[in-house]
Amino acid sequence: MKNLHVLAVAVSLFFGTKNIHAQFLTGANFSGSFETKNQLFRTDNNIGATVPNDKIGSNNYLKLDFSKGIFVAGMRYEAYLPVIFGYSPLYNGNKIVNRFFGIRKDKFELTVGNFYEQFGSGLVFRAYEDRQLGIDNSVDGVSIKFNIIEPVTIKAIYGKQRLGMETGNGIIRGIDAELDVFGLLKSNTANYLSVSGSLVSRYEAYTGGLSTVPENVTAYSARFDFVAGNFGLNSEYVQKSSDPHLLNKYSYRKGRTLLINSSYSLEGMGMNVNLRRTENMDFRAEREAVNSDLLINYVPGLSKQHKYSVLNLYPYAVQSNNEIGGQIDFYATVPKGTFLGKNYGTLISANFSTYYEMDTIATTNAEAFNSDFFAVSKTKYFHDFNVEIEKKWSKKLKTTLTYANIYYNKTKLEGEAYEIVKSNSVVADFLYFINEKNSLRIELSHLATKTDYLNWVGAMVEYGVAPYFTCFVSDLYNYQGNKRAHYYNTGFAISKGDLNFSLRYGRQKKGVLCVGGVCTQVPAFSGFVAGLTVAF
Amino acid sequence: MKKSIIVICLLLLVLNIVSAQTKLPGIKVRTLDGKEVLATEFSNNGKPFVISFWGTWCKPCLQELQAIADHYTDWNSESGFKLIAVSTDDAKNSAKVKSFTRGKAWPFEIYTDSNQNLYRALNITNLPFMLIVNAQGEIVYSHSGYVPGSETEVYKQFKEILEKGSAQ
Repeated sequence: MKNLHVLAVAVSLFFGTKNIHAQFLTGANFSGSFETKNQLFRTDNNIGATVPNDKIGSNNYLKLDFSKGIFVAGMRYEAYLPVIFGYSPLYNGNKIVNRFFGIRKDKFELTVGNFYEQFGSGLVFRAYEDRQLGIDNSVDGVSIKFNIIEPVTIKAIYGKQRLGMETGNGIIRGIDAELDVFGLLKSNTANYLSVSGSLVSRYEAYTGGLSTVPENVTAYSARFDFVAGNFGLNSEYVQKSSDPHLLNKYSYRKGRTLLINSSYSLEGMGMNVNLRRTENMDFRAEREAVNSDLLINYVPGLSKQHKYSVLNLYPYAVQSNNEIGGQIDFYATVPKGTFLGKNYGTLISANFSTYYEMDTIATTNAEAFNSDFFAVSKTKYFHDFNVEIEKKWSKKLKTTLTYANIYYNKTKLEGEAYEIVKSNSVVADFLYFINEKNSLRIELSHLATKTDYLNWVGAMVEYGVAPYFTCFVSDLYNYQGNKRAHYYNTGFAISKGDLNFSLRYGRQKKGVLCVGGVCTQVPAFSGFVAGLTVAF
Repeated sequence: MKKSIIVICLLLLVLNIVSAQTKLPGIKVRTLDGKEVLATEFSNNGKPFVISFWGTWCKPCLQELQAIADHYTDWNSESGFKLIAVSTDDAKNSAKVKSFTRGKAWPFEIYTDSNQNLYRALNITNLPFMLIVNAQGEIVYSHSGYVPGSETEVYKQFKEILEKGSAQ
């Protein structure tokens, strides 16, 4: 009741001050966003979808930012009423979970409160938010970024990470320095070379009986980034001190990761190669943290992030404690006027990624295993070879054809005993313009495999009225074996300016949802999903 | 709960007095060659320009940018149309952005915002997200999502903003 009084007073003040021009706010910027996602569950025995105690789930986020001159401030209020099924139960109730104040100048930035930051590619430290996966490991503390001399950028951070509606116990602190070498030499070259180093440490008190468990864990990283015209090469090496924790089965072995990225591109042709070996690199603010909680660093799965649902049935989940592998990408445009290019040109892309377990030798000491740096075992986690050809035939018709061959070691990647899943998939995607504003998109897909859920067939029809409206009907069906089920969905979306509304009814398969190579288990779901986002 | 409501109401009060976000914030993004650039330095020789936030994994983003790429030469020579494409790909895909965009022969100016600092500062929650900045550096149009064909609406808006600017 008291809350209502406060609200009433504030609302009357809001309307009562319409013409007041507070001097100190002149020239200030105010912006924000609101997002709500709601689910209505229904029991659906065919796909194993159950209904939680509360039949409705609702996640809500209100973000408000303020800036004036060099000053910035902001906050985010979140309400889980209750949290959507499948998200961490640590998100519960409602609270202001993020607030900050800062100074932003060209060569100096200070943030006090919650902040997001990343050192290099994130292998030693990345604080970020991904609402779809329910990840928010923002740090509550102090962040400083400055240039003492122009070519040197220094970042320093200190604080505790967000865990659900609170912060975790571990304290993290870090420093990163990046040197623009050609900038320092005042060279006029168009090439770029930076050399950088980071240090991140975590402290978590230990109250158990073992004298050997380290309370402080430190990770160091050295990296460079070199670009010369069409060619680029960057690399990062990270080492982490002994960090026994739940997810590495309390191994005392040091962590080591080496990442090498190279690229070569011309106008109309590009390729890149990423290689990575990573060992014991799960780095969290607490020893007992699980799922996506309290991640200090970011080790993404370096494989193709597919756009079609049939190709996302078996997504790769990174194995940051024991993985060696890489990927190659190739992109090309066949120019118009040629035999393959015809009138509009043809876009071709191909990707191959493969990941293995490292070759390790079990030991009886606290490290648990030993391994040569580049030794690869015979245990393959995953491979994905895929090709996509995109062709515009006329002003009215465009087609995209995709083929993928995916090897998925379900036992290793999902932790339960399964057969290996070897699949071949094709997706044909047609976009047809009925006229300038009305379009029809048809997606037909098939996945063939002899294990797990056996073969799948999928179809989707999407009708769009530019620029505001789309609606769709889709189905994904595993038509063999005894686990057959139709995963049907239908819905629509309206977007006008900064406002988006969408409503969907249907089924979602139990499985793994991955965004940016970080994955989360999602339960089977059946029912309605309604979402609204607005920015202002 | 009570504290939360008070804070929200105070901020609504502020909203009543001040203007909404109209300029690009002073946040750094990187060029495809790794160099840092302030978003406030984005420009188009005194003309309006379009900024599109996208990701290599986002199908509607790629549909939209490819559709604009198909018209780009015509639009650019007709009215000086310019599009700046800001990739929000993180470390999973950010190393691919240069070869990806050059392989597609996209004619846009491209930047990477790999920890989504600019994306977050502009209160974007969905991709693709498109905004138009006028000659005075003010954000005057924004739109999220893509429906095939809506690129012509973006161009229409661009031309209207261009005409408004030259009429002043």
